[in-house]
Amino acid sequence: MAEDLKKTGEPVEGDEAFIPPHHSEWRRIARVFVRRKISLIGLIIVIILIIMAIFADFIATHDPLKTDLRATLESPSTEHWLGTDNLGRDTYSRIIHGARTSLTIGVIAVTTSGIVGMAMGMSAAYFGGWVFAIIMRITDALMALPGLIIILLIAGLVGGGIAVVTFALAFGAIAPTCRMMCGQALHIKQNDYILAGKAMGMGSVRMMVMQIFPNAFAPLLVGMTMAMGMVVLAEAGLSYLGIGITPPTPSWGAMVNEGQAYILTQPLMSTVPGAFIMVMVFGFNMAGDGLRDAIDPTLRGAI
Amino acid sequence: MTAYIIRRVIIGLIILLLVTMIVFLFVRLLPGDPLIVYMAQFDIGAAQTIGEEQYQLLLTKFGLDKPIPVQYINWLGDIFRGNLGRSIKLQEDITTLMADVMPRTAYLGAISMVIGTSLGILFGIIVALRRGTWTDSIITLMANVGITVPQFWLGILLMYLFAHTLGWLPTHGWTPILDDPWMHFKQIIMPVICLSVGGMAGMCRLTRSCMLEVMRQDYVRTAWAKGLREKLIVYRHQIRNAVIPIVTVLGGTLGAILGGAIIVENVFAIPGMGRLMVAGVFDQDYQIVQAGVLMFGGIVIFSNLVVDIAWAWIDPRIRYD
Repeated sequence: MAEDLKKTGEPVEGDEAFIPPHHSEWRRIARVFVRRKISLIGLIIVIILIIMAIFADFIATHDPLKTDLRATLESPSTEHWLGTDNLGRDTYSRIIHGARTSLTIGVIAVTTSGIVGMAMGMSAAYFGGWVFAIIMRITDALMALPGLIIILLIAGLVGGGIAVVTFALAFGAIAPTCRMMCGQALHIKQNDYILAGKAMGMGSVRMMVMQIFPNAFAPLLVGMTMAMGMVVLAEAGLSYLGIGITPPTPSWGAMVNEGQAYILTQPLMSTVPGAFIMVMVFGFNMAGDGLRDAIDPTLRGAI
Repeated sequence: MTAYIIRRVIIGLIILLLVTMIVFLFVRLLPGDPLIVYMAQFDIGAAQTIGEEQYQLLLTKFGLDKPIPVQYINWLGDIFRGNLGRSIKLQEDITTLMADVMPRTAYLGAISMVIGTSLGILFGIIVALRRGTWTDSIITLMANVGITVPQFWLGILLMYLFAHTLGWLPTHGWTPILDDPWMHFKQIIMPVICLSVGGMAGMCRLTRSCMLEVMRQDYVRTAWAKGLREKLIVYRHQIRNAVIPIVTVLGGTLGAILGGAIIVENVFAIPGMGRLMVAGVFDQDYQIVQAGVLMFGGIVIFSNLVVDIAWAWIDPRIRYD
């Protein structure tokens, strides 16, 4: 039977030729992503900075913490590629190690806030009613407090340091993640497979973890990439103010602050770390933009 | 419309109440004993040597022995009576301090908000109308850079260029407008640039994508098909519809600008809210920080409310969602 049909060359439903070729969604996303030059540049920037952070010990030429009071505020030379700071520390090595500080804080803060925000947003959308009202009103309240301000309150009460800054940044990023997840989950909830799951007697937690989460993952990945940029920028701002990373840990924001006093004699000391902050945030933003457009063109501008 | 306004006001008040709760719980639950901080103002050693009995006495005096909900109500009552507490470090009523510094931050924030949003929307429209040309590429790239540039770094670069190298503007400082309008103007140029750049870039990106979205709509195609002049299509059909989603993010933009004020005021040594709050963090003067957070939260909630109501009045569809 099938043989006969193939001879006639007319595909009929149920015939192999009628089934469209297997199409990998991730491959399509990768293709659209790569086609946009700017998002590819963003991704490359992010990868380079991650390599820089992981292999900081090998890439840096000096110990970023080692002070040398005989060689303070030196201009760039073959020994110190970007000169030295007011304590004789090698600026180039400090910048390389600064990538590690920024990325570590960023990744931990974004992952933590992602998990908490997702759980909150999903529960709000899934259970609806009172749970929805309470969670979303709390989110509204948190959104009313500009990110830096809530972080300032936490840092002001507890003091600075990497742990506190990470916690504060994570806390500040919960509300946007929650709101986005809630929107996604509300949309997914209307699908028939959720109804089918309910009919099969699937529990709430199982439903959220097995059905809603995987379907909302792609847009959330975009949101988290964008959040990385915001968190890195906020950390730099806090460290610039002297509230964030405590010295002598190398942090780009703190380095801009330290170099500000010597801007006339050693402009590289504050301008280069600042440029690195910008490049890192730019990389994450552009990669996130590209990812968003690649995953779903209809989301353009929505997240 | 009245029903919508009443509903919006009630939601706004609930959110304001939640903000006060979050701030109160933060201060109570995070490590750090307010009493120890209070004692520190009299004598550094007193906080450590204080006896159990005295400690209980102080707890009773400040009402800290009462259950947490009662403490919250008392605290809230104080705030609504305009009593934000007393700064331990500066020995001044926080309400007086706030009345002093708040107008400066609000003034800078308002100017930056107006400049940032209006120029951002303008650029976004231009870019959308010339999509695909080199104007589009350059302005879009600049907007993408604009949303990433750290404000403090931009401030330092501007300072280096305009104050140190060219000598056109003073490096930092604040002069009241009535004392010396020209000096005042010169001093606020750089802070306003720093504050408005992020909002401007964000607005430009958003306007561009909203405009491109609207251009694909059927009614725009119909407008072209019936032979309307391009000017009319752009003004009446495209811009009017594209602006609606933009307005919903205005509240967030204001919040971002106010958050930026914390950093920018410290770069340019402007005695505003941001500077006071950062000083409060360093002095462990948590009451100042707490008051600042409440003020900022209140402003953002209020402006969101105004934007929502104004927009429901302009676009009747919003009233019924």
